[in-house]
Amino acid sequence: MTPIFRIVLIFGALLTLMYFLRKIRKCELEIDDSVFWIVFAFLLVVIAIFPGTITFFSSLLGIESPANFIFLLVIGVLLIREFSLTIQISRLKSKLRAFVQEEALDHGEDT
Amino acid sequence: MALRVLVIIPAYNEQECIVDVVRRVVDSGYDYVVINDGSTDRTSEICHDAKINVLDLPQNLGIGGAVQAGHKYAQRYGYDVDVQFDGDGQHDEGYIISLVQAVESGADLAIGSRFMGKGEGFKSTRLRRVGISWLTFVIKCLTGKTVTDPTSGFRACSRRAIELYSSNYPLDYPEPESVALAVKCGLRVQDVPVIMHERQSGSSSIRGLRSAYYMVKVTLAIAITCITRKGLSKVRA
Repeated sequence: MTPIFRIVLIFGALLTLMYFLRKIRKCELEIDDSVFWIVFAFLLVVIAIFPGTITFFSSLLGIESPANFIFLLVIGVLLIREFSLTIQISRLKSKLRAFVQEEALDHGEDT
Repeated sequence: MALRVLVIIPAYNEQECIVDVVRRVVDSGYDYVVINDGSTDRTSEICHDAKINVLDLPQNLGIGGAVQAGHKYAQRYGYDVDVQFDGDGQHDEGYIISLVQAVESGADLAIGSRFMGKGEGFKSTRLRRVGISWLTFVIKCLTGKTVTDPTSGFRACSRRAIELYSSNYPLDYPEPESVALAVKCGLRVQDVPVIMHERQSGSSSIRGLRSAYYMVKVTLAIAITCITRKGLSKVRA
């Protein structure tokens, strides 16, 4: 990992952090939902400052460049996040459907 | 000039003890509202049959959403003080007056603490106490304020706190975060010694391994709250 790559990583992570803190301050994002991204950005900064573990794991897996391993890691994490969000959205849709139907039925009784 | 006090009783699947809890609050002479958090047992039917004042949430929102609904109810009906009183029988109605008096004397958030002085009563498991000490430490580091029982749901809010929490209340395990939020928004927070009992029925919503995940998440959330609220102007009185 070149020093420039590490600097770009840190820079990108800090920008992400600042973006999310700004959104929270403007009440456009609930703190509980932002925890994942705050941790994610923080981990990227740690990886950039201490590239040792990355080099170790990438050579273990036979990946030529540690930077490639970081890409793999980030893609993996994002996919897991994507799965989790899909499940959350699915549950929200069911809840909304149930709520809308109950509301309509209740109002039907009143009138 | 007597203050109007509302006791908020959040309840999720508390069919065994909800009537008893409500009776104890009524006997102490307070207005109340039970927030039925989408219970799947007979809590709602039992409340309606006993003519209990209950707000039935159509979906389960969790303790954060239920308590916030209670604050909104207090705001809508013009209460000066609201007191959160758990529907599982752990809180002692004899201490409601102490919490209300703390608010009358100027506190915006009066938290009933199990760990002040050497009171008797149930003080939770050792593991939980370690977690609570950690949260006390985190809150002290980030806000400068010492709160001895930040996970206590037994608390009273002034109008300023009600207004803050009606529009801004954390959803997952809200007790410690909401304390940090109050301090950061310039509200006066005060501990009041109380005694709590063991759960009469039902099961705790914080369990085993989840506790570790919860600790990390709440610590982070408190830190984020403190960072993002640093420059926030004080809540209007």
